[in-house]
Amino acid sequence: MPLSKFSRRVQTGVAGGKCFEIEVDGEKILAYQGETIAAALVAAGKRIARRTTKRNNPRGVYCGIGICFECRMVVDGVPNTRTCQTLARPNCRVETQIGVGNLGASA
Amino acid sequence: MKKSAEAVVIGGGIVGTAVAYYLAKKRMDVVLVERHDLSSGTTGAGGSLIGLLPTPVGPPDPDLVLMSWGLYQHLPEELDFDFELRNSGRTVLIKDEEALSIARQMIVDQRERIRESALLNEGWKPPIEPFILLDMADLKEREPFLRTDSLVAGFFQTQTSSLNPFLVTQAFANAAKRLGASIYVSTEVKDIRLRNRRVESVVTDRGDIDTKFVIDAAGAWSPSIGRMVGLEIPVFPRRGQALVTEPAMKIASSVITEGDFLSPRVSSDLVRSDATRSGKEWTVHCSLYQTSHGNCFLGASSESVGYDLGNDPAVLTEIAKKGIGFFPALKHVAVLRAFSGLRPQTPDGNPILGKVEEVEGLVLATGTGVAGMVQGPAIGALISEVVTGTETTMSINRFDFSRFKNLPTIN
Amino acid sequence: MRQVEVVVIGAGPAGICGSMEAAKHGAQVTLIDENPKAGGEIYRQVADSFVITDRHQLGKDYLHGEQLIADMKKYGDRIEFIHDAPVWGMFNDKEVAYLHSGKSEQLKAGKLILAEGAYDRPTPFPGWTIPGVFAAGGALRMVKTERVLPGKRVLLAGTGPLQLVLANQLIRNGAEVTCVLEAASAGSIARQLPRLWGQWGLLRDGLQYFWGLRKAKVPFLTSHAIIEARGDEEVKEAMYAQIDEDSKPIGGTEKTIEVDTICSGYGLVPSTRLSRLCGCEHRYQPNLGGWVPSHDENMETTLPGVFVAGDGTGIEGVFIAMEKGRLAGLRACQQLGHITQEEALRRFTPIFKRLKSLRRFESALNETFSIKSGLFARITDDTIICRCEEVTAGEIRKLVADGATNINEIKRMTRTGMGHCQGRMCESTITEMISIETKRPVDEVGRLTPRPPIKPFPLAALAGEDR
Repeated sequence: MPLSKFSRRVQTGVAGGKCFEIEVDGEKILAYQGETIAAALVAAGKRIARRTTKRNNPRGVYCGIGICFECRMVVDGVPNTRTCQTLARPNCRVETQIGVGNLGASA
Repeated sequence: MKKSAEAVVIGGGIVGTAVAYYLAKKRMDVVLVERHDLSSGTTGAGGSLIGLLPTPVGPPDPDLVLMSWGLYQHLPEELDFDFELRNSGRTVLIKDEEALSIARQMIVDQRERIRESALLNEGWKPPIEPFILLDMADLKEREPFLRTDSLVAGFFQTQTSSLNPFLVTQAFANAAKRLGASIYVSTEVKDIRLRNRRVESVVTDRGDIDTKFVIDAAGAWSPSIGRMVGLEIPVFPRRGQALVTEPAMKIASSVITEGDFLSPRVSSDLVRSDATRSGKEWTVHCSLYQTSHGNCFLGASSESVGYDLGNDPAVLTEIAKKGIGFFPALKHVAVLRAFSGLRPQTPDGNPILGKVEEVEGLVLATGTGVAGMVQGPAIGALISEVVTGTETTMSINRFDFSRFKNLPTIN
Repeated sequence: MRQVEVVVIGAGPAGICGSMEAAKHGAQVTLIDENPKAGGEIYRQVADSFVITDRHQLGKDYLHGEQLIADMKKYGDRIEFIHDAPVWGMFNDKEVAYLHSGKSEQLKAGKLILAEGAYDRPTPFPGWTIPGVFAAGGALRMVKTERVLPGKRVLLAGTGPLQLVLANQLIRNGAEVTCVLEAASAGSIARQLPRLWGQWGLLRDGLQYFWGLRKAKVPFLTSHAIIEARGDEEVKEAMYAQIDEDSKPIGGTEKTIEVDTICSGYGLVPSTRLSRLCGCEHRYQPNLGGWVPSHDENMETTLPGVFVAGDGTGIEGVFIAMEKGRLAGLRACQQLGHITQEEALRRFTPIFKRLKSLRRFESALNETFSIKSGLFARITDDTIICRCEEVTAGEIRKLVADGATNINEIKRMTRTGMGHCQGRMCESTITEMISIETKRPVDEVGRLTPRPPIKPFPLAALAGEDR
């Protein structure tokens, strides 16, 4: 998803550290050292973290403090990873989790 | 709340709700009292598996189990309730040659018992092949995520199913209510009044109920009910801790059970308890299955810690280790909750069923140990026959309380 | 197992103050927190790799927090701070199990101080699960410390001062705030103003926040609440309406507005997982946010040697949280014999005095910005109540109509509370719903049974193996 013209990143008061790319569903987005994957996703306007098991409904970050588990995605092959609690790392692979997710290569 | 009934069932687990249902089915005016919620005791904490648990030492009693199995097949329809009964079968994992030879012999014995048992069970045909011996290639094919390097063989038991313990008790309770029974939760029995050693009424914290029959289906807590009438019931709590994971993709295709119980010593340790048992030693016997929602249930420990329903991190760690040992894919799967239950075990591992000489009107339906869910419906049906004075479908003499006669009673 | 004199769980303002007070008076303290740094929520600090270019942009709270954390560092040798360490269980007598570097560890505490904090009250309305709806507290964290805006065109709905803080942060940092919906009436807010006499700092802050809204021409609508969020894959619009004194939506006043983000902030709920897990008694106090642990005036619970402090004992704001922390730290020290009873009393007295004065204001806030039952009238049968297991209000209502009287019955039949959040997002709503439908008080409809772990974590960590 391309960054919209409107920047969701707060420009004043704090500057991000090192900047790098992470991969989200095959696309590259920008992330900063020290920020969570969720922050990078929200900054990129990418709001859907997962789709629910029963109704296939889209869900994304809700509580932002690590207790609702709505922001969970498959990160480097591991499903149910809370993106709001996980720091972005250069080239980490993030995927929208469908239902319970696939343990895939990590199984 | 009702002030009188023909029968009062104490305990809202699988046994109590089954008894209430079958009594109501026989048009008895029955009341069930449960001090917390239905299935809030051992039933809700249990492994939720049914089927023949083959052990070399005997219990669980195959006839009771097979009679229950037969009843279970029709219950979803009869109770008009889907309690997630799923026949996935059980894979027993065998680690060494000694266990394998025990398994072979046990399979032969069990096949025989099943055949005999089928004669007692109307309308139920035993499967052609209740046990299938598996070599490593078979194991790997059936369970692709299973780690097999510590194993020599396995066997698959076709008659094992999982179900939802909360829903099955609700199913029995709802059906009982439809047939006229009264179910009272959050209602605690405080005393049982006798007149001339005959049941007169049950005293609860919500009022008294005059009754002819009292059925003690209070599981691990049935001794405290017994003491209300001066009876010392040899049921001892044997704690089992277990844990449930978050929903995951399909990892286990059947119920997986560690074959350690094939040793008579281990088996005996798992199914029997008496008053002398206590102390800090515990064992973990690994059993794993995955529900239809994807949660993996990992159990379970065996400990004698009285009525303590807490968890012990060391035990949980051992359960996790064993689970990952068999299914490395579980490494990344999160544990959602740990819990525990108190198995009501008896010195010989068999339940205590039927009337008691000492108190007229008291009927025991307890001591189901590791096999409450497994034996529940049959016990319910048999007890309803005992109470209404009909001939029992199968003999329950061997489960009589009098076999413990040499134990002291309180006056 | 490693033994520590004083273990403090939660490094928010209460935990930090408790730790400092204990250390100051001679105790060895271990402070454990799941976050990478101390500060909790209100005093949350930015990541080390971020560079602060203008600290005043971060707001007053941030700077207070920074100072407090710096003060704590002075006790370096007496306070061991274990961070990135979620506590998952409590066992036997004050044995704490926590995760650290992917493994489970245990500690035995001589005295234990639980400062679990609080979290945003989940308040369901139709569409609240659509991506783009955020809890206000989480949105505030995003802006303040992650330096990311939750969206472009935002609607705020809720009650209480946190919304004002969030609105200002959003406006200042470039988001378009369409309006702020406040459930309380203008009258009820005005009625509390006399209680603010003496709290000049707070009054000044409040005025500044209102002025911030005024300058940006953002309407602040009292007696209003959001009714519905709409959108397929993400929020596209919101419907809101006027509400009566009971917070019930008034038919015919509905308005729709195009937004891409909704921040819902209806106050906080005390986090009581650990205090419940270790078995101390709790009581239901709606004016404090719900169920809270019972404690004496020195913050000791019904379990000897187990103390509680902070918002986890009731939502009373950061200043009261810190005082409670200090009381707990002092009392723990006294029980350990580091200070005498007289010395302890000398130190307690000024704290009690400050608490009394602070409580006058806080209770005014809690009264004005309380949740009223009419808010639950927004919930349609289709509204998802248990987000994890996707259980709707209709399913719950049917069970209650069929005779279910407590939350555990609902749980067993529908699986509400059996998902990842372990009931945090649905427990308060379900108990309220049962209470409303059966006309019984909330504290009679039951609570979910706490079991370890209090947050899910991978089996590998429990097994003690590397992933």
